[in-house]
Amino acid sequence: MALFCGLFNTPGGRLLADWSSRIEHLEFSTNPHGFATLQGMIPETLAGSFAVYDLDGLPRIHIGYNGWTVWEGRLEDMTIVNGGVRIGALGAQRALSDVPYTALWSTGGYSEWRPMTIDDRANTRTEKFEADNNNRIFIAPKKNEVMASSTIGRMGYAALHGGERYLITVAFTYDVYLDAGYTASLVSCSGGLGGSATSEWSVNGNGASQTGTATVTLTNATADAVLFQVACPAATYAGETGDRYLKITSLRIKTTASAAVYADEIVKALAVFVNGINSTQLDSNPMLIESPALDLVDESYADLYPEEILNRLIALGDNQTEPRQWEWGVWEDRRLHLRPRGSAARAWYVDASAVQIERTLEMLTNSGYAVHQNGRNETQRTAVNADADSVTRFGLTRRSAVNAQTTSATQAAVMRDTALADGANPRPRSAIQFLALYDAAGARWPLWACRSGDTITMRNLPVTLGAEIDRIRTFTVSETRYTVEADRLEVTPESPLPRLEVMVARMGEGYR
Amino acid sequence: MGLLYLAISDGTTTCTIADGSGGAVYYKLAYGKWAPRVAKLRQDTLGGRGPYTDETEEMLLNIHGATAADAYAKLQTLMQLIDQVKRWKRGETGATAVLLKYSPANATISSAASPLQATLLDGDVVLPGHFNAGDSVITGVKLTVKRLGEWLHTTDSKASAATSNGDKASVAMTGAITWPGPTKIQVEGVVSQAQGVDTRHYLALADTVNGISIFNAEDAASSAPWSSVNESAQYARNTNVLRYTPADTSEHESGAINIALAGANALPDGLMAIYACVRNNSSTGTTFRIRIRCSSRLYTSVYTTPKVIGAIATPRWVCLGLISAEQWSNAYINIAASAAADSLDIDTLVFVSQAVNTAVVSFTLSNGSGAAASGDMLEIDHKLLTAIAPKITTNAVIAVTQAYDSDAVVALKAATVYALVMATGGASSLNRWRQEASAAVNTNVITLVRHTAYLTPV
Repeated sequence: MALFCGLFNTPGGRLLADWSSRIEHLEFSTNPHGFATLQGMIPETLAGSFAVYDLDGLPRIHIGYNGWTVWEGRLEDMTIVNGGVRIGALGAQRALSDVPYTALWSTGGYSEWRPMTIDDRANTRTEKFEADNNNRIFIAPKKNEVMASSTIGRMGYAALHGGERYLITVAFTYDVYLDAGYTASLVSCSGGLGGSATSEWSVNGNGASQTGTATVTLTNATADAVLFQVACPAATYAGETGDRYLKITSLRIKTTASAAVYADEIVKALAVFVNGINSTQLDSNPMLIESPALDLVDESYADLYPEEILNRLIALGDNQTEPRQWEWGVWEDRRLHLRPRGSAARAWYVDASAVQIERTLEMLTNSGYAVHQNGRNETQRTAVNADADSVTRFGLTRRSAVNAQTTSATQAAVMRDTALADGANPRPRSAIQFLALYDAAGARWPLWACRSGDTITMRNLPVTLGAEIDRIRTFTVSETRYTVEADRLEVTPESPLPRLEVMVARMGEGYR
Repeated sequence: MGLLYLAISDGTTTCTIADGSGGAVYYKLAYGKWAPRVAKLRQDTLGGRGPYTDETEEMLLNIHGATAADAYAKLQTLMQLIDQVKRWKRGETGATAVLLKYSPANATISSAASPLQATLLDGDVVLPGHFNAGDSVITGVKLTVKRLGEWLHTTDSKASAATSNGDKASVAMTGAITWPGPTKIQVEGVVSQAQGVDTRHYLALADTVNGISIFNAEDAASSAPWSSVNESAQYARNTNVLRYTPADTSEHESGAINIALAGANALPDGLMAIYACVRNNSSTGTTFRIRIRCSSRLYTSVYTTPKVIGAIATPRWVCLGLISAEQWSNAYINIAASAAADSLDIDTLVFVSQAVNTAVVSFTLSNGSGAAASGDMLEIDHKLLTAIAPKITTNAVIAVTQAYDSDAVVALKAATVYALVMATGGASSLNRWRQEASAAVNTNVITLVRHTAYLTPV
């Protein structure tokens, strides 16, 4: 089962060199995001070393087996040393950290809305109005202000400057309580809040409260800003401030026509974005991108690398009652995938030749309480909950205080219990060595076939070895490192993401 | 039968250490004794030079000259060869391979006229402490050379009958050999495409008839979204292809393809590589995800990892991955589409066992010109005795080096070797399931030039 190691000018392009018989100290690795690193040494003359060093473009290294890709990536690092060239390559996941991405996808907040001024747009006289963005958009004419027919009060929102996406839908609940002659409107702008304007929605005042909901698909195809405004008749407003108003709540702005914003739509766009700039580094094919089906309300990315965005999205989980962990990565053919963690895992069986198992109480938490605030912002503490089995097993109570940033005592208790579930029975750290890899049918596979995300079961550990044995015997592989010369595979077991971290991330987004 | 023969030569310059008949030579073994090291299976898994370890030979030589100056000149000649070994290994232009040629005493297979050969990879000469005595014989010169592990001997060249492209050919060699012998492969009757067409093709070889198994994908046609479609105009193997026409984006499984072959054709238990000839008929960007399910021991299902078929409008072979099973019974094709549109066709599935001695070489077929050329010849040459890396070429007009992304050093040992050319595209159109020219499927003649190889001297 001989591997091929070759250098190509582009993916699937011209073969620059077959290094199979020449490369020394070849090692390659995988991590949760796909092919990770490759190192090796090519013995060369100085001239030959510079010939490699000076190669145009970004050559690709491909490790193949009978037409199957074992490892592939781009040759990034070259060091000319005495006797040859040391090379370092990185897998295609690297492409997700080449170009920063700026775009709004969805926002449900009000903090970025602001009262506009005459400097923003002509006829804007928001000083004649009471306007706020305190969990709403509120524009109300002030008592005794003299209005002209050109007097307009405006609250505006501008999308991220230089973003990749235009505003597409604005959904909101409105309460238009204005007198006749007043008009409440939603206006979209191209070129910022002062740019060319398109009226998208309006309600004329009639002296009564007119309420409803609206989902406006902007007709302006290049809208990068929106504003709510109240236009006035030429008259003095004699009423009390606040008696007449435009109030907008349940506001959501999206840059997609989709009813909900799911992570897969964002990830597909990221793949297209990266491919559009570096077409040879990442494929734009969306076939391996699955949907967590979790509506993401607040997703706005300012100068973030796609890698950062992906890491954030997978931490949010999905819409399952017990949210699943998700993973992203790039394997063969530079195709980005988004899927539940472990859904594509292969199960391997090994006979461990050496086992190292470490138990530490450092991560033990078998008792805890949550600290939260009540409605008056007073600090509260929940009752203590304990895992009796864990206390008995370890002969020790280790208690932690969970900082639950919530005013809900119920939610605080849930977070306390989640932290307890994470920490009451910490998984021992383990490291194993093995010489061969088998599948469930007992067939022997090459060691390099094992990848990050696969599971390994040590089949030569007796089931009666200890109380913890079942938790050690099988583990998910976090990283692999294969040393070709020794035909040796090192694996790093995965440390599962604590459920509390996932919960906190979701809570920050408003999910429960 | 003769005496020891041992020499180092680049084909032009030769340093003879023993001439096979006990005659006078300039380079003699100091104590008249030397035994080669025996190579063993390498632990590392890289290809490019065969599966056996490189071995380092050490020998003490007495270099004889008519005078001291003559001895120095003989030493220089030896050193020139050693220097050339290093330059050749580093890939310097103009440096040719240097071989260690050897035949043990009383050998019946090798001889001075037909010695065992091994390419030298490195070398070193250390002079004795008394070198400056100025004698006409320099005694105790330590020569260290590193060579490829296998001793290569004569070649056995045999050709298959003309076989339709896409069918399994067989080559009857003179006989089986003990150790797998590096084999140069020539395939006549290939179609090479114009410059810029980088489609990958495959050549599978096996030492047993069940090492390569071919199945018609259209056998899996059951009901919608699966159908069997006539593609004879595009030279589909067995006339029809399996077509998947998605009605949604969910994954669907085809009917069964019976892979429970009998007798000598039964698929070997264990690891298998699966290849498929596919064509994405989408004009709107629909992509497909394929995985193969095989039933093992009748009840257990195993799957290949999903393979995405992007926008490829002409047939091509793809490797669907590795899978392992026992008592292979049925195969099922599972496909999901990115949209409920367009279709994906599959003509043939090929299973290549990894549990028996097989090899699959993946390469391009590009002639570097502006048009396709039929009647071209593909050559896969290991070049173990001449170059530091294998070479794959086509030679429509001139030898055009092809790209490849699998180990091109093929070693076989069976009396009958089986081969399958998995190539698409015709002389008139790329939209061909098999290679054709002049409105007929090409026939290939596969010639194997196989070295006999030894780990111990014979």
